[in-house]
Amino acid sequence: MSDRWLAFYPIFSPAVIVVVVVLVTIAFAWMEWSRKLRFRIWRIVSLMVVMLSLSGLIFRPAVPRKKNSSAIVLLTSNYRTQTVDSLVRLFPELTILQAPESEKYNKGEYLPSFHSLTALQGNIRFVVGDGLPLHALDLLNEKEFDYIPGHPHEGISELTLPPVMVNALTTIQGTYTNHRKFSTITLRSPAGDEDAVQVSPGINHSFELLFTPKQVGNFLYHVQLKDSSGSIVEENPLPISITEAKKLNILFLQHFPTAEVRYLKNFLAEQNHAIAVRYQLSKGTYRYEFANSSPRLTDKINTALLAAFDLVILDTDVFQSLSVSEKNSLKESIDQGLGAIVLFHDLPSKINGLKSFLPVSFTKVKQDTVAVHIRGYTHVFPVTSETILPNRSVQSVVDSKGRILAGYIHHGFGKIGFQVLQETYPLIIQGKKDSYAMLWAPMLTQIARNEKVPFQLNVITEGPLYTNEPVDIEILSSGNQPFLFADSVRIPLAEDVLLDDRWSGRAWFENAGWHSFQFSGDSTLHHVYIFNPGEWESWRANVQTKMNRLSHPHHRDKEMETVLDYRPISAWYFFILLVCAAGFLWLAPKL
Amino acid sequence: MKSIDAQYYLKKIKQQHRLRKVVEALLYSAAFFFALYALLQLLGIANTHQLVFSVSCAVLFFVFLGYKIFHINESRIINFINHRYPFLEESADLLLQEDQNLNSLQRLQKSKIFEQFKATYKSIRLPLKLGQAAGLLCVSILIFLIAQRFYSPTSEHSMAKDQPSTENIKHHLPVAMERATITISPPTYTLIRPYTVNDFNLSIPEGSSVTWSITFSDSSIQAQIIMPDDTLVLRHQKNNNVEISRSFNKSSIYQFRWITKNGMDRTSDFYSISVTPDKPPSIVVQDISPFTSLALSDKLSISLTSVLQDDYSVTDAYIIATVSKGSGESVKFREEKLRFSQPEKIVGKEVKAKRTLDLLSLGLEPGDELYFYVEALDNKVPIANRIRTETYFISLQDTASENSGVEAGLGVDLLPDYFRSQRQIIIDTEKLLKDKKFLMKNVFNSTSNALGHDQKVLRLRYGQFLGEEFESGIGPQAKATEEEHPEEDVTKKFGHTHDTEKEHNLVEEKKEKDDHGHQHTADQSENPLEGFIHEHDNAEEATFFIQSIKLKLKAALTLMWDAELYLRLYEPAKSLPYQYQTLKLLKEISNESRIYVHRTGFDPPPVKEDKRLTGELTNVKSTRAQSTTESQLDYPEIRRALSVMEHTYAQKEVKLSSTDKAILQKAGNELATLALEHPEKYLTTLSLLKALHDDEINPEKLKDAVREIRKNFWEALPVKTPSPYALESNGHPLNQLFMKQLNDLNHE
Repeated sequence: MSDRWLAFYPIFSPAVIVVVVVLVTIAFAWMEWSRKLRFRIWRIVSLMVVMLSLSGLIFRPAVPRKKNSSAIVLLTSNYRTQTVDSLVRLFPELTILQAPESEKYNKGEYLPSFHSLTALQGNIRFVVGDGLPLHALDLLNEKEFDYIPGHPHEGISELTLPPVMVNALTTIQGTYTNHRKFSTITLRSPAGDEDAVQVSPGINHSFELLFTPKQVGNFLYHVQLKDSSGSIVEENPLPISITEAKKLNILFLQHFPTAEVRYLKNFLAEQNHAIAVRYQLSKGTYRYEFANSSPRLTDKINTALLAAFDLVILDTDVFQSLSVSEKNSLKESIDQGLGAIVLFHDLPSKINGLKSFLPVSFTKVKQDTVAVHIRGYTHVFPVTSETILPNRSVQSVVDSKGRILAGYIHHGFGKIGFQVLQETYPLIIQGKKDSYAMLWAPMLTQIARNEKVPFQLNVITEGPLYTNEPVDIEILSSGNQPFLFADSVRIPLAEDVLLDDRWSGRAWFENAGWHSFQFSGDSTLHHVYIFNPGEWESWRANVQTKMNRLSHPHHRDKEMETVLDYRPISAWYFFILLVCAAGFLWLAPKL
Repeated sequence: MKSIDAQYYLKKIKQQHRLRKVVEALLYSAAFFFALYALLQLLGIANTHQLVFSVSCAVLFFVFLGYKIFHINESRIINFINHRYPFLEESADLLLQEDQNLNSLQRLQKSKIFEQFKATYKSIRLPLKLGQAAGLLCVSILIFLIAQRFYSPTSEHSMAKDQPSTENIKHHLPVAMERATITISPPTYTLIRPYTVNDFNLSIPEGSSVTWSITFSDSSIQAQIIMPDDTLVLRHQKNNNVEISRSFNKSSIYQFRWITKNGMDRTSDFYSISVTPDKPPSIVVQDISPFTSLALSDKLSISLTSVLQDDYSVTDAYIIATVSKGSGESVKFREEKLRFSQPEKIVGKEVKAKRTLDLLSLGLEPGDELYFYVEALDNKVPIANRIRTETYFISLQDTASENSGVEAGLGVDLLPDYFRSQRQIIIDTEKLLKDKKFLMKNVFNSTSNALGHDQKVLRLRYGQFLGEEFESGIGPQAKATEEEHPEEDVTKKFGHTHDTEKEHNLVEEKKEKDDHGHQHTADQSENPLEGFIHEHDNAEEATFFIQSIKLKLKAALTLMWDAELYLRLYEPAKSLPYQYQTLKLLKEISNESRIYVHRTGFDPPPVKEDKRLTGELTNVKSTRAQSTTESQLDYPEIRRALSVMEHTYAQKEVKLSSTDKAILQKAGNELATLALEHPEKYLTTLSLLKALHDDEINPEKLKDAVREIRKNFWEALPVKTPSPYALESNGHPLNQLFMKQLNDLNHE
């Protein structure tokens, strides 16, 4: 477009139209002239008007109009009409553009795609509604616009799912916004309802759902929102990738056998963990027991021996009997990632050398029993009459009314844990094996040595992933260069400029469903699930809103440019002229 | 014909036309009814609703048509005639007018057309569609009949109830089967006659014999019944009939399998056989408590009534009675089997048996006990079910030798259970005070009084050690002075001391502190037997306790009086200090009254510390024990199939490859073992698996079938105990650097 007094937007090629119009006009004019009827001149004039009207409809002329501003208000889905009306009233010269799939606004013009945003850099003054999707935000170098959110979405606004292990109790955490649209959130597994929680109206309230998966693999659960009558108002798929849990290598060091350790050892051995136990029979004489592992213990504790284990459980008697070099070896191994748990047979304050190994303070308490809630039941256990003083470095694993009963501190790459409950094995005798497992499993899991993996892959795109939208990933490597494939397609990776061994990449998935990432030379698959558009709307909207809020407001003192805007002449004018002229041509013979 | 006749005939034409129109409307309504009825039938709507609705609509339709009919009048007929018959020159309406109302021209016209009308009135035909209506009715009747022919009733009324039909198998018969009859023959002892059922899913008594008699369409078909533990080949009988019988003692599932003459291997759906076991009889003994104690003066015959019930029949019942005589090591037992006196013969589903147990005729004497239980048998063949009740105890008290240790006050017997200690009274008093706010006044007072009574009983109990009950009096007493009797060691005086070699090991006897001086009273006479007699009825001379203990006991009794006083006065708070002091005194008394005896038995030599832990350890070696837990994943095929089902479910279109089908078949075999225990839960899934394998499911129902199978597979897997596991982490160099710097900070 240039500074012309008239512009044309023809439907077809102008040359063709001109030729056709001229030829047709000449032909019809000659025919009209030949007819022996009244109003010859008027008929010819009407004919010319008809052809001109038709030409106007085809050529679509436009006249220029000056505007003082190039500012744009971009309407995205779920915008409030009142907000836009107010903006237009305040800033009448705003250009209203609409994102694809947004609701039609009276004077708005749709962008053909988000790629058009590149040409509108710096001109976007307002974004109204749910905001631009993340990949569209990336197209804007300067995110200087005022973002005005739209109607709040009712539903689940955030979901967090930890890594899921088979047969492990897993917690899904999330937040929801509810204005009485629903009253129950239900988690549904392939077998049926797994867990449900009653919710009250509110904004960004949190909730938790628990489940225990039974089988390794990728499964599609569902999260349902139900109203008070039990009808489902919204249902979305929840992909759960369940992995096999890696078994632990555990070493027990004891002065003499105790029922507590015996039951714990048997419990772990039944679950196929590799167990090694050492009891002392006499000075320098030991009894070794191995379950699911090959015999490899020696009398001396050293770093080479401890490197083969993930966790060492020792009682305070053994700890005191360890030599200095053995204690140093133990500490060194913990520094390198080994986990250690100390079981107290005596009051902690009476254990020599404990403070240097486990730097926590204890204080006396009156109660020698404690009630612990496990799976909705209360169990009473005897406990040492000294308790840990609260300390920021102490991570609690089992507690009761603020009293830490089991926990750990970090030491290098490893952890040193402690357990003051004296007799937990009666739970097994009473047949409450699940409660026993719930008491011990979290502690052993958190304290045991972490399994080293060469590459750690994280999906850093927030919110649900959709088809044909980018999925950003981050890879932490332990030193090797990663080669990543997404569904057998190689993904180019870029290493962080400042941080070595931190790689990033982007992938797109065309189809909804399960997809996988795999590193070259590694058989492990990292699964991701791609949703269909329309699923998890409220979660998506919440993430999008959050990202758009990070934009900077537009600088108001920026000079507004004067631009020419060509407005097409309304086709109605040409149509009315056409009808009138054609009407006269029809009427003329009858007059 | 006169002109008046013209009016008459016009009227007649009108009436005839109306009648014909009514008939036409009826035909249309009837056609509407049949068509609507047929449509509703094909849509599967129930009979009564169908009929009522159709009739209502037909009536409404008729009313609608009839409304138009009754608007037909002469003027409309005239209009029609004028239109239809031009020779009437649009003047037929003149025929309805009287001559005097017409002018001459009209009269002339009237007379002119009258002649025409007269000649042609008989041939006047008004528009009618009787033929069309009749044709429509025929068509709708045809549609109705066709609908009847193909209609499949969904209501139960179409099936005869309570009439086991030999041909009416509930489940769809497989295509190759023309007829199937199942006869159940329960065991003879159940007294149930053989019967036929109309369902392939069977529920039969234990031990019943089941006979399948099936007629296939082709005589050459080889048929079998496949069960988890057996395969039955159906034997050919006459007329294309195959038959087989088998008896069942436990639940199972089965399916038919046959090979057609084309060599095709076909299988039917899965069916369940649920076996109802023969339960043992139940015995209820009425009106006798498990423990009965009788005195000799009581009625010594007990009426025993037992209600015996069985699902089929009780055949025998009796009482096993054991009499125990004597006590201690000389106890003797004698067992007897007693029959019920009523009825004479125990037989039937429910029997009320009675017998009177005469203890004397059984030989019971005072001090003896009778134990008995009732045993019953049912009529199960070959081994009857047997059951017995719990044991009932009847003891005949021996009042002559009964030990009245509670009142005698010898002080060596154990306190009876109801006897409350001072500590208990204190606890109860404190509780009463704590609950005072929540108790009504009369309840509070009565409880306080009850505690006062307990305190009194305790006081009396302890008072017995000192002799007479009222010895200590009521109210505060002056402290009793110690008597002048020298303290003496009761045990040394009256006991036997043999072993005095190692007296240094003995616990030192407590020396009594002489707080008060002794003063011999003037009137105290010397009795040579004084030192040897036991004077338990004299509080001053009671020799069970030594002197200071007596004083303490006296003081305790005094305090008990005071405590009881305030408890009786409903002031338990004031009684508490007295109770505490009493308890303290009683504790001191019990400590001081302990007697320490020499140790008897083996005295080991003292341990020599210098030789301790110097034993030879050469033969004590380190030992090793190794074990392996076999890790067997339960239901491996179901787990594999679950992955297949999950993948299939996620697809838009359900497609199973031959590998997938093979996996599903193996999973089905595993599921069959579960179906044996829970047929109601898994039998449908087995059928779905089979149908999925054989591609017998409609495409639009495939997704639902996959969902159902997936659900049941998931339910079949057991929930395992949570297990610890190793978390993953990456050894990024930055982490190591961070840890190193953290450690350096710690060391600084």
